[in-house]
Amino acid sequence: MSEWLVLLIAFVHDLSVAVYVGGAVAMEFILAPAQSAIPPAQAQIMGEKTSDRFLLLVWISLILIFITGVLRLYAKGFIGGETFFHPLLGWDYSYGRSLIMLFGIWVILVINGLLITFLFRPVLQGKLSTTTDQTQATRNRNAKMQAAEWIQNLSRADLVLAILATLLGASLLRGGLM
Amino acid sequence: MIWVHNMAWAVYLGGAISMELVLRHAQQFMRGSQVAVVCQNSGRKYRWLSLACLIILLVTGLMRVTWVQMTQSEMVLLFGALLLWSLLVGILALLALHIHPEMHLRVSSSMTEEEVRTERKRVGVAIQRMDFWVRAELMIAVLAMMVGTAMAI
Repeated sequence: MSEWLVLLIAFVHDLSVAVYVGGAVAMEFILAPAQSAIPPAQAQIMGEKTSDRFLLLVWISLILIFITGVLRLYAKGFIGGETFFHPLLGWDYSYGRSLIMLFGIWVILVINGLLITFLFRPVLQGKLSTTTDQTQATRNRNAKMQAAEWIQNLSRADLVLAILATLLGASLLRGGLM
Repeated sequence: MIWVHNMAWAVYLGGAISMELVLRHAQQFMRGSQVAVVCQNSGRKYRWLSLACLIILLVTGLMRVTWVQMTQSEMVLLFGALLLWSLLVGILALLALHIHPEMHLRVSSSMTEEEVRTERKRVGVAIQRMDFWVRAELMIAVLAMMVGTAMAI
């Protein structure tokens, strides 16, 4: 692999991590408080539009992190050799343990992303029809509140996991965390 | 220390990208008066967060390079990174001291319709100016990250 390609892969990897982690921090600590400063109807529009766009960025980042992560390992000769997986990538070595944990975190982030995108967001976006009675409306409102709570909790868990992932990722430069 | 440096980068750059791609996108669907409120509110927090990240980046970055012996090409990259860092601090100061205060809408009941229109126009121009500088900041930050990546590998 040429040096420029290795640089490009590393750059895209770092950029994707930055978009995920920095975006999550911005959503939690900057955009959410700003949303509470405007009237509820406008806040709802802002919340919907920011969440839709951020989810798109999250998915692009997660896919790019995985692809460029694998390519970086390939460029370093850790995968694709005679044994396909280099012995250093095993659980017996600190580097391997850190990398396996990183992959585990990535899988959890993907699962959480799937839950938010396909389970909780549709509940939150559901609209009432003109034939909806009072009981259905109450049930619908409760479901929306529960979905919003789940999204908030999962997003916070994702932020903590992403920060842990950056710690593990940085430790790989020194041979692993533990 | 590498982790703190990387985290500061991630928060700074990711925050800038979010402000541009997420907040700007949402603003297209909001009323102008609310856009100014959100811009002021988020801008105030964002610039403090950015300033903290830039200071951490400088401190941890300099600590990292003092431990290693650098080649000439690495010195050029370091000089480039410091130049870009200075530009980012300059833009942040411009946003904090000049552009964000200009976005404050000053309307009172004693003002004529014409004066209110002029005031709204002034705020609109300030928002456009902020958009330009936030984009410039984002471009420079991405370039700086490329320099940082080149130094790390």
